[in-house]
Amino acid sequence: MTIRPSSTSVTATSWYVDILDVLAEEGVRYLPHVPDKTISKLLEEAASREEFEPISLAREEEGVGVLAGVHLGGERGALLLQTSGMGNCLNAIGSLTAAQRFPFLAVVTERGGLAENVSTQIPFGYALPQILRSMGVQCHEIDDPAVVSKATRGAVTTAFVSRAPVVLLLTSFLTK
Amino acid sequence: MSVDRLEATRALVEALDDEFVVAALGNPAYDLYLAGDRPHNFYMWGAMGLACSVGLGLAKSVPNAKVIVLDGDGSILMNLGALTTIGVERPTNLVHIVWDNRSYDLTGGQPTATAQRADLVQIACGAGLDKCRFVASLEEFVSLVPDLLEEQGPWFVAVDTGPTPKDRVKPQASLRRRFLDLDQTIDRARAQKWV
Repeated sequence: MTIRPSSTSVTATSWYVDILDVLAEEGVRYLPHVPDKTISKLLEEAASREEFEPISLAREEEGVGVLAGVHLGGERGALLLQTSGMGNCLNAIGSLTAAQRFPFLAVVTERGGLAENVSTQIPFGYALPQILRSMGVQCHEIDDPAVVSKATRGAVTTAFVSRAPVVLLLTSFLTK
Repeated sequence: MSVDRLEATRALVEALDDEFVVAALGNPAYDLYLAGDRPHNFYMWGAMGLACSVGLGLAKSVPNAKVIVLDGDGSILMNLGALTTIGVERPTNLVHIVWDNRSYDLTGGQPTATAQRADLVQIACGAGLDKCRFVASLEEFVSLVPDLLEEQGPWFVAVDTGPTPKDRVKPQASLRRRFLDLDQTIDRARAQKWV
């Protein structure tokens, strides 16, 4: 993980507003999700904006299917979840997303990284980037507020134009 | 007498016009292909349990068209939480049909929970689905099809199907090519939105 010194400059907007602005501009409308304390800031903002259609899931794996269906319907969506939820998605990403070449974009709030205070989050959470990369899923760790918009736009291009599955992993340095 | 799954699939496909169909991996996909391939069909070959989730995503993104999911009991038992998601979202254009043969047919016929005490229709009702039906004969299924296509849902229909006949064709070679061609379905979805 890259650790940068925390920025002292005041950013104009919050990370979740930056992400949603780009998703809205890029036509990413459907947002299947499972809540988490951090990503809920993004979810609450999304629910207040008419460009988005949030879909609350019982289990994250459903979201992999929902995104495939959204693509078949000619639309775009992104899965919003925390690290542990990606563990529930792995076989579906392999046997649906990758096998049938669906686009896949997930915005994941990190658990299990540096300063994690719940030990059960660490064994899977810390390994997630390696696990994803071993499956051919790109995992980009974002910890600098200044790059959130560019990274989100880049992830949209990678997912929907190049059709390579991509995860934006938002570290606690960004979100806390 | 239980329902022959292929006969029921044929009866359904004959009644279709521009409805989308999502078939779970294995027998639901094989029978859908045998009943007649069409651009509106989407065939899965993995991600067991997720057919209804794909159907939900498709139904949300093509609100003016019906989306029919053909599922199996083994599959849906793996993803029961998805029924609660559908129960909350209440997509009126979604029809979820489960061919319930009470077994993992493709892996040797091992019994599923519906061979014991589980009741899929009660589970679906409990998950908040609006119209839940149990169908025990082909005649009953055929007479229900117009309602499924015309009346608002979400529908959940469990169909009592017997074991698959031993000589039933598995069109795997054809499906292997077809399941990669998503664009047929996407083109239909886009076209229907601009009508």
